[in-house]
Amino acid sequence: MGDGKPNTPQQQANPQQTNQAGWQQPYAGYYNYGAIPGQSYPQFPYQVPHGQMTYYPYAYGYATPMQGQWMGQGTWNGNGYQMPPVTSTAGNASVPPPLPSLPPPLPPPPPPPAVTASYEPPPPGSIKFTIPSKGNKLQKPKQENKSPGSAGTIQVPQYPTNPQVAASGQQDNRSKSPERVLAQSKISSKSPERVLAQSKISRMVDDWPPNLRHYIERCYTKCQSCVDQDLVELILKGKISSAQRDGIVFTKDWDNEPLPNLSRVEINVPTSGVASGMKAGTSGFSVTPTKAGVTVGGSPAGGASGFRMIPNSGQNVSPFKATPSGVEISAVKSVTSVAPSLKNGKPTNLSNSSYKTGASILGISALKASAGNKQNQISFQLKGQRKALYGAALRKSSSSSSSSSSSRSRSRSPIRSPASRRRSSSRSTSRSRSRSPSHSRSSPFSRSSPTPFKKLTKSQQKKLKRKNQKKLVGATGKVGAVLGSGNRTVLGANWSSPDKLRKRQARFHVPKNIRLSTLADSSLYREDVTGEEDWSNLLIVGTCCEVEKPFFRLTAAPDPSTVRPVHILKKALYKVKTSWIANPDYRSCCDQMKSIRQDLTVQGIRDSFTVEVYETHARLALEAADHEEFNQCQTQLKALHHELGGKNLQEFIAYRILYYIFTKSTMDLNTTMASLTPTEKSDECVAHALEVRSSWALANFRRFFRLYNHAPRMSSHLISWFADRERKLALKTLIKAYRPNIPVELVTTQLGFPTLDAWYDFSKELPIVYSDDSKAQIDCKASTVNLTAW
Amino acid sequence: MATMNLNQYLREIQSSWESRSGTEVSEFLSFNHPHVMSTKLTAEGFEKSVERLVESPLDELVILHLRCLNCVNQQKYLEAYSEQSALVQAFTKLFQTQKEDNWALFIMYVISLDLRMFAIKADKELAKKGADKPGQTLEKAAECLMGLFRVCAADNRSSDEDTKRWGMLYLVNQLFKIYFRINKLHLCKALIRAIDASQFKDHFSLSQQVTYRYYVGRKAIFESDFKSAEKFLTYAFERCHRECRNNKRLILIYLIPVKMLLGHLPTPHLLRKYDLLQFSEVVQAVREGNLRRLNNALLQHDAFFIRCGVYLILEKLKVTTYRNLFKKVTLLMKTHQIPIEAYLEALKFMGVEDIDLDETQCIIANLIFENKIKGYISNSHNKLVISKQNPFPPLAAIMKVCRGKEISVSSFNLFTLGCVDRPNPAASQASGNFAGEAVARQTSTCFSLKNNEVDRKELINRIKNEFLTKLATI
Repeated sequence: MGDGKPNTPQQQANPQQTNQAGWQQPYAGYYNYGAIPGQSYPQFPYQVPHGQMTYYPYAYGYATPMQGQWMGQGTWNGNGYQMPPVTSTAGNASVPPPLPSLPPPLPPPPPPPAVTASYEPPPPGSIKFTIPSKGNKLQKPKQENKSPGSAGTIQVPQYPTNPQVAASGQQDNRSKSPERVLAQSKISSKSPERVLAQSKISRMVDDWPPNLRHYIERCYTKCQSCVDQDLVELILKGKISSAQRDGIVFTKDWDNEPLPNLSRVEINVPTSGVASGMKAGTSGFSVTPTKAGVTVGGSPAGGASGFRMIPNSGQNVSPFKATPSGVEISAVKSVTSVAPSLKNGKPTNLSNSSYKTGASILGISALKASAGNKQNQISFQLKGQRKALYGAALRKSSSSSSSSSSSRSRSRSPIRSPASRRRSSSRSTSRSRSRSPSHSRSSPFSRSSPTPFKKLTKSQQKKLKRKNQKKLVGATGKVGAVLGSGNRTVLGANWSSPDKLRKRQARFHVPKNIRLSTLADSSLYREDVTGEEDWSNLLIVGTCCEVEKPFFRLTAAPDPSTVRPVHILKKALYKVKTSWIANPDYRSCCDQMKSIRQDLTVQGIRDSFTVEVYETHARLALEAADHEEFNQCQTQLKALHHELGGKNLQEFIAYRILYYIFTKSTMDLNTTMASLTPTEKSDECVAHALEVRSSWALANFRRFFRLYNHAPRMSSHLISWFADRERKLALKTLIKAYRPNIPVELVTTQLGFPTLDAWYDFSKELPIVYSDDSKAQIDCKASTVNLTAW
Repeated sequence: MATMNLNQYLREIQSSWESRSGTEVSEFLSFNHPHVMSTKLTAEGFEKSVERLVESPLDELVILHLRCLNCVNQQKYLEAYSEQSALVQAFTKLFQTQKEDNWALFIMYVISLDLRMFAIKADKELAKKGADKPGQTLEKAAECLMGLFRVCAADNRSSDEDTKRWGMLYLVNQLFKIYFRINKLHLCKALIRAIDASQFKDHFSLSQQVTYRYYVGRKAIFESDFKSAEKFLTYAFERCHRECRNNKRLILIYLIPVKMLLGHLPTPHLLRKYDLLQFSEVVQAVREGNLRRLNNALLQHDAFFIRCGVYLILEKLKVTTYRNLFKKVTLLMKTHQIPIEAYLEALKFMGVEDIDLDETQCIIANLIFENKIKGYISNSHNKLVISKQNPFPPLAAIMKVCRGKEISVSSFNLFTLGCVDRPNPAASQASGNFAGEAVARQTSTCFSLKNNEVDRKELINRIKNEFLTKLATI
């Protein structure tokens, strides 16, 4: 293009002159105001005498308790905006600290059941009940008969697919038979333990510092029983995870770390202490690892009771009542007189053996395995109990060798009852203390457990509950109901498939955004999402205080902490404007403008400021000949002006008409013209644009270029986009119409070239034949030959 | 029919469904049928009766139709639209399962027509409520119809008699109507391609073909392809049923400007007959080469012209008017080398105020470029040198009609178009008007002067009186 530029050379050389010549009086050069010191421009609201605070961020009706102080600070330096304290604004005050961005990572699909079946470390609470070691030996051969594979095959279908069915089918029964529920739940909380063991081992081997290993060893040496060992394990887990979270695993003084307190007394005083522990743990901060560990480890059941939503279920769940319930189970079992092979805890032994083998394979300590068998025992008690409840048919079917597998599968069922939640809660307590999204912890957990519920922090559960109160339908509601009623636990069932998990994950964003949206003018902003969720309800209020922010096309729901509120955006706009004047670097300015626009959009702000932003960007794009951005802006402005009006409405109608000429969209031109009112037609810019259109349609290039050189405001920028296109056509016309020669001088006037150089620049690519050496005359006849090749 | 009760209605529709009579069923599902007047059809709990008396899958359609009827009776067009759209979607599914069968095409016709009608009304309702997006319901309706179109277009296994592809053109026409209304002409392209590729292209029913040609012609106008626009619109005008005066008028609104641009002016009789007198002033102005009159005529009716979307074409008639004006001036000057100032004075006389020699040269250059004047401009003498033979060739014979677009025109073909095959007397009469006009012009080398002796004399006198002295001095 080069010399094809719209402006005359004088205009290019002197922008002020351009303004005087082209732009009319009220429009004194939008971006040039800074270059002309002392001149005031009323349309720019922030303009204040130089040297004073040029911009006051709260000038737009934001309640600012800090105002006086802020103004008095006198530290304003003009280009770096001193950040006002965010919390002082009314808007920010109501915004809570950002929530954890995501729920814990998805658990992978359930592991192959054959493996899972073999190692089931017990929850510590169950250890107390019974240890029928005698049965172990008796049942061992039987277990060996059963290949793990066969057990697996039976369990496979049940594990991932059945839980929901089972859950719904058993809900009624469960409320009637708390004992069974208790047993079930105990069973299903086994897996974390195993993970713990695994993870711990792997950790120890891998990257724990030596003093930590020493510490762990010291802890374990303190243990007197396997119960203690379990406790220690829990405590250590809490400590290490919290240390990991804080990143002090390697720096912490493990040598001076107090050893866990394993006194029985503490275990026996569960609820109150643990409840507080729970609280501290779930709030996520500032709990000393020691205390956390002790509380959690010492009274896992208490942790559960603190966690439980419904008090009455505590009856069944409290560990000290669990003992009688365990007794009761065995009693039931004996009463119902199951198949003889299952009596006297034989199934337990069976599973115990399996544990042992599994443990040896994986290198889990024998102690833990033995602890595990206690858990398993309960699972078999459950089986017996269930048989009692379900009657003879089931009893028959499970009395044979298949019994162990069937019971096992049942025990694996992700249905979880309060007791199980108690376990998981004791775990989640420790974890919530750790509160770590750290992979080292959470991923092994998820590997073993199909119940991501366990990974919920308390706050998340609260959220769930709140959602439930909001009567959100769907699976969330189900979970919420489960939590609410306390007895029903459909937990893991819903989350077993990655799809569902993703849905669930998405749901966690929804309430957050709804809660944060205080701007309720969603009716103004409706995005065209056909049939999808209505994102217009997801308006947020930003809390980001960075004035500058690079544009990044959103790929997820916007995060309020990265979105700037209006008063910051106003500063940002001002900054872009000043920087454009100082240094017209379009790329950076466009980037900034886009991010401002994005922030406005996600916050659903559509007011005069939005109009200003889009107008500014449209003008920047005009100057920089950025067609795409200009089109985006003018499309938005069309809607914005339609809604809100604005003093520059007509100016942008004119630009739109010119833009349609540029794109040659006759249809749009027609509709635009049809919508013009007489007042709009009489506007200077619009009238000019209409004249340009008319001369363009009639190919009256002389008039066209005359209008081009007298374009109001920024119209000449737009016309310059298609001026050369028209010049080419006009030149063809001239060459065909004139004989024998046409003087270059005539061409330059006809085609609106400001200088001869501009003409030569334009024509150097064209196959024009000159009739003289000085290139003052074009030989038309000779040039015509080449016309068609243009 | 208007007092039909529900049981009667249901029995009849069921029996016609069983007899696979597409027309009968379509009548019972149409809103252009007296049964919609009956108040008994939408009595409380009609769903149960429908389920009892009508078998699946028809029952769903009937229920939706009656629900829609209920909404229409209450003037709730938004709800009516959603019911009708559910009906169309249900029908689409059902229609797809009817392999090797197209008797239900008639049902498709009526329900898609009603869908569009309700969408228009729903949009009006939304506009009253202050919705910011005009035509959003219509857009959804278009999507709905596209679903049907896909079913029809994909049915290429059935035999020629039973294929659903016979329904394509009807749907295309409905979609055209929507796209033109919501200004989304670019979406038409794929539809046109589909019809062009269809083996039944020329075997669809005449009414549908006329409608199709009308819209394709209009689209061609917007793409400045006036030659094919004329072809399509002429076809539509000639084949359009004589009773459909309004349709013929609509076609003429686009055909007249295109014809004028190509050099065929309509007779006053034609304009009177179809109540298109808005054009008559324009026609007169172009004929006279009277720029002032043309500007006034355009200004006077610009609302009408812009609304119809022909303003931009009519504006191009200015070029034709320049030509006629310059021709008069040339005849007056009685020489082959006419000073540019003569034209400048003529233009100024016609009320073009802010014009200079350069611009006059520009206008003349354009006319030469478009072959409307045979000759050249000599810049050194500042004169237009015209060909001694036929310097102003008849417009209809000019190869280049619009700038940069090569169109091979045999003017005789144009005039005889429609005379060969005249199914419609009214149409042929109308086209006869065009033809007569053009033939008359053919015989005269002087296109407009002979027809307007009075005007010419007046103009000559004026020019003589006012400019002769000036011209003589040059």
